Amino acid sequence: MFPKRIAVKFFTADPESGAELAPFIPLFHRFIQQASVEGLLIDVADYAHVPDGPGVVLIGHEVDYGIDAVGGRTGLLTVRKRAGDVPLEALLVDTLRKALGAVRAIEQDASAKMRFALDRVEVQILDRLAAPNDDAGFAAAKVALEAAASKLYGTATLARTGADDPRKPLAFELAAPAAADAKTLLDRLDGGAAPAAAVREPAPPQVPGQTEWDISPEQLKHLMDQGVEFVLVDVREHHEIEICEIGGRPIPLRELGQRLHELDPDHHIVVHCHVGGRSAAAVNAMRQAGFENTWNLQGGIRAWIQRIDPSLTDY
Amino acid sequence: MSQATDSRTWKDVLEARIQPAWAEEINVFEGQVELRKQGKLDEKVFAETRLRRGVYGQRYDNGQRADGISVKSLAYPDVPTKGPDTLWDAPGMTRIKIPFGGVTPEQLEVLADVAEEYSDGILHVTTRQDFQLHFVHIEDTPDLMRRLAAVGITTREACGNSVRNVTACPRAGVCHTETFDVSPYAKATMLFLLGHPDVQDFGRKMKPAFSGCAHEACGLVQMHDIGFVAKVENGRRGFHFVVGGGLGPVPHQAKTLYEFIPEDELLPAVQAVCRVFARLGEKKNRGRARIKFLVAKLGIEEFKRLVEEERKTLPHDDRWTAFLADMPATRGDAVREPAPLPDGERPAGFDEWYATNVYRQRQAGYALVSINLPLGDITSEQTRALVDIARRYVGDNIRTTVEQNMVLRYVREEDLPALHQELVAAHLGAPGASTIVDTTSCPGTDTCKLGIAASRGLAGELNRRLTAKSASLDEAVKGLRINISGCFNSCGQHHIADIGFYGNSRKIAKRTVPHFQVILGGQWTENAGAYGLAVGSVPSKAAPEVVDALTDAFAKGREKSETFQSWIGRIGKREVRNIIQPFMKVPDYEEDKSYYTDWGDAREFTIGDLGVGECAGEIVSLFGIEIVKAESQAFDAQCALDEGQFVEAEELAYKAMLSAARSLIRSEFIDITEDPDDVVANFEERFVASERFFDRYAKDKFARYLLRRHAEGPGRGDRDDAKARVEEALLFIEAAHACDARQAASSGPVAAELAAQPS
Repeated sequence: MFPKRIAVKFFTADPESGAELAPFIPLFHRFIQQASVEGLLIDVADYAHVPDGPGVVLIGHEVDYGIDAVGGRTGLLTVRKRAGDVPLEALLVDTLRKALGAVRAIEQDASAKMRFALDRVEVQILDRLAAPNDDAGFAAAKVALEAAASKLYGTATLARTGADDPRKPLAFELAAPAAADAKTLLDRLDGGAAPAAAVREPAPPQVPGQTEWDISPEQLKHLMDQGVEFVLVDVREHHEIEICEIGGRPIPLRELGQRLHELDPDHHIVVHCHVGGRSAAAVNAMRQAGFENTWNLQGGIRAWIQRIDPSLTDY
Repeated sequence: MSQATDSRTWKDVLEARIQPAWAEEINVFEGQVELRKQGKLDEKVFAETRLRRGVYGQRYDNGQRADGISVKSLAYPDVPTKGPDTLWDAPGMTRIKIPFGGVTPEQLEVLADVAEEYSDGILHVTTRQDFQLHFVHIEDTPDLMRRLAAVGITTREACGNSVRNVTACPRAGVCHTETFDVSPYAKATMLFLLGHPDVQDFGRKMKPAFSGCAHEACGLVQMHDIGFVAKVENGRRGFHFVVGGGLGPVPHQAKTLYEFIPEDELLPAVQAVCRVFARLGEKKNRGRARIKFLVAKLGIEEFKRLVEEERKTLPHDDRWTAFLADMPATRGDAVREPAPLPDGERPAGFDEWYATNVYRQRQAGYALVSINLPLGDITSEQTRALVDIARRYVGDNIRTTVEQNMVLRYVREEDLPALHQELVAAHLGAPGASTIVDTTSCPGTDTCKLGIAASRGLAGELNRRLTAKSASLDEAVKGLRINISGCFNSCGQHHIADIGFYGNSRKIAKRTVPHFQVILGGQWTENAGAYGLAVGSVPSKAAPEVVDALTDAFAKGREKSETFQSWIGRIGKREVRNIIQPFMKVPDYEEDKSYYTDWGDAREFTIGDLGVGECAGEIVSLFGIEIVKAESQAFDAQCALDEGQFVEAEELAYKAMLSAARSLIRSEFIDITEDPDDVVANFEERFVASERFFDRYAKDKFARYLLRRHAEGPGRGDRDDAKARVEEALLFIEAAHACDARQAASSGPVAAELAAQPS
């Protein structure tokens, strides 16, 4: 069975707590800024106004993470989308891995104040063509479900849910004999087969922010293309510049302090280095020194080579 | 379990159940998707193709998103685009037309399925009775279309330059005041025009609406491109046919094309209008391509003459009258015999719900029940619950409404208490439908590329606050309508609300702050008979308090049974402005950061997601000072318009545009004079020729307002002219703000200042 979409749901440890959904809006925005969970993350959708609705959802390209309170139980729903070329067992393992990664990220976030009870998980197969909610569908999915469940929980029990209404998606509950934490479960899953070659991997998530004044390589290219007036400064060493460069004015970082007078604080200045660490330091220092229009090329010339001009030589 | 099962497709399963013409179209579209994916089909052609199938774009699909720190590129795979600047894998929106809002339980079940499998589990009801699904991947759309087609729903022409959904009042057929049931006519019009050759060559979209009554007017005919109000003359059924209405940035009232057109002439007349629009409508300048501009340009008499000429040349089509033989086509049969509501004790919450959500039908013993959907959203689970309820109580009698709700018709009155209980159990029993707690909002910055401020976020906040105090609200206040749009394009229909908002932004110190322009006194009745006027812009976070201040003042100050609209007219614009003035101040960033973030968001506000990301930069203080003059001239223009001084209003509006243009010029050319010729020439050279004033999507639309007025002079000096000029001035000022913000981002004025200094 090769379903196009499945979902897994872990519930919080304290079912009566009736979690506040509002803190998850800034939390999920932070996850996007810092790439705290797997996936190409796109935006945060607020459905808190819908009773028993999806709650607050972090929308991604191949995965969504939603915190909701359906049926009075707060839980994290992880929806794996854009599949169809991965068999169910591997897909389920991949989805559980993503879900547990999100569980960890949420548990580690002070503002969420949330702990999950990871000894049971609900699974839905959201593809009525591949997995109809009937005996045949159940039989087709059962083997894969059991295999994934045993990787996750060892001796697990598997129960079908939602059989009362054939219109609902095919769904199961997996239960473990004992509780476990996210790290333990993740380690168990990583021992299993990763959905490698068969899956069309999306591009890696964006590099986490290095300063408050980052711009991307695409932004820099746009500035160049538009003919906007600005100064590009390259704070790498000369031998690095000989390998590759993008026309930046060479002022090595260790000389920058003494050579600041060469630059005009009223100009817009973009600083770059190899991967963004040195330029971040430079930008922070320059801003402190009154250079209010200084920006950091996030990811450095390496990101430029990867995304804008692969003809240059990286090192 | 067999591989054979796994290799079946939806096409295999459903082909036999879909009408052949529709199946063929979907197969063709699927082929085009494949071709485009391989780069073998032009991106613009593909974009228009998918738009004509209801497959739309969404925010961030150009791959750029402000994440609260800076603008990031979304690292989608590098494959051909699905349109100009629109990345293939970026999620999109699918719009599903529901003609006259009529939807069956079977159709709702499939809608629930596709929402779960291709979207985020939410069906959204729009302000034109459509359903929308968000975050849909382009490669899922052919199967989505097939599954809907198998139950009789097409997504064709939900978007693009064609005939959009044909709407009708949700009470059509059960209404006390209707002349006759317009639903079968709406359905016939939709079927006739769907894919018709005469609607393929429009320069812009066309939106039709039907109404059973002239005055109650839930059909909102006056604001549509073509509108029909049921009428009977000499025992014959027909329609009052109006043309050229529309909201958009500058709203127009429709004009009468035919006082009465008989029912058997309806479709040929519509076809003739379509031909005239296709032939003579503006094609290049999209900002002036709606039929309202053609009607205004030609004048209604000439337009009518052209339509009559066209009518004579039409080849006969049996479909013009065939539908008249099957008039009960849209009347769902009641599933229960009528019976009145018995006396007796009511469950908790019933009375409050009954007062707002139940409408006793013309047919004795039956009622129409409104399902108040929060922001028009319903989940797949709720949809299935609603289907079960509907099958038990009403059968096929379900409709969507333009207030983003749904209604059940032919509910036996005796069943109301039991029905209420079941709705409450499914979280579908919220009272307050069509009252002030039932706010209408467009998607706004949640998903729309053109959204400037968070219309849905504000609507959600207003719903919460007003619901919490609904028990203590004055009756007159409860009946008010609030409509919110995310930008000036008015998909939220803010022009016809008692209290309307549309999103814009203002630069405060170095930061951009989300605001809403306040539009008051629109008229929903009389078929959207009058549009509200702008009173001033308030920060988004202050909008709920503005609503409180206005509703309190109304409750205290209204005389007898004055409507909100009359009250606004009586106390006058200046007095209203005084009421909202205190809320217009934006606190400093250090004092209250919350103003710098919009509702339901956590990121610091930016208009960067509208186009190229901003890098932020210097303020241009000269602009900030000068633009205030323009704004106060615009306000004075509105007051003059209000007071019936049309010539003065028009003149003031023109002056406001000149002031706004001058404030942009002054930032880089200190010596600009006040002479209008000088100002316009400089504006044209510095800002129009260079495209600096251009809006990303509307291009030179707003610049043209000033250029045209300067070249052509004041016009006829009548109300319509003055009103239009005032609207244009407001939009021009908005565009000037936006231009200033973009300037700051690209260090233009800094460079210009440096260049201007003596070396």
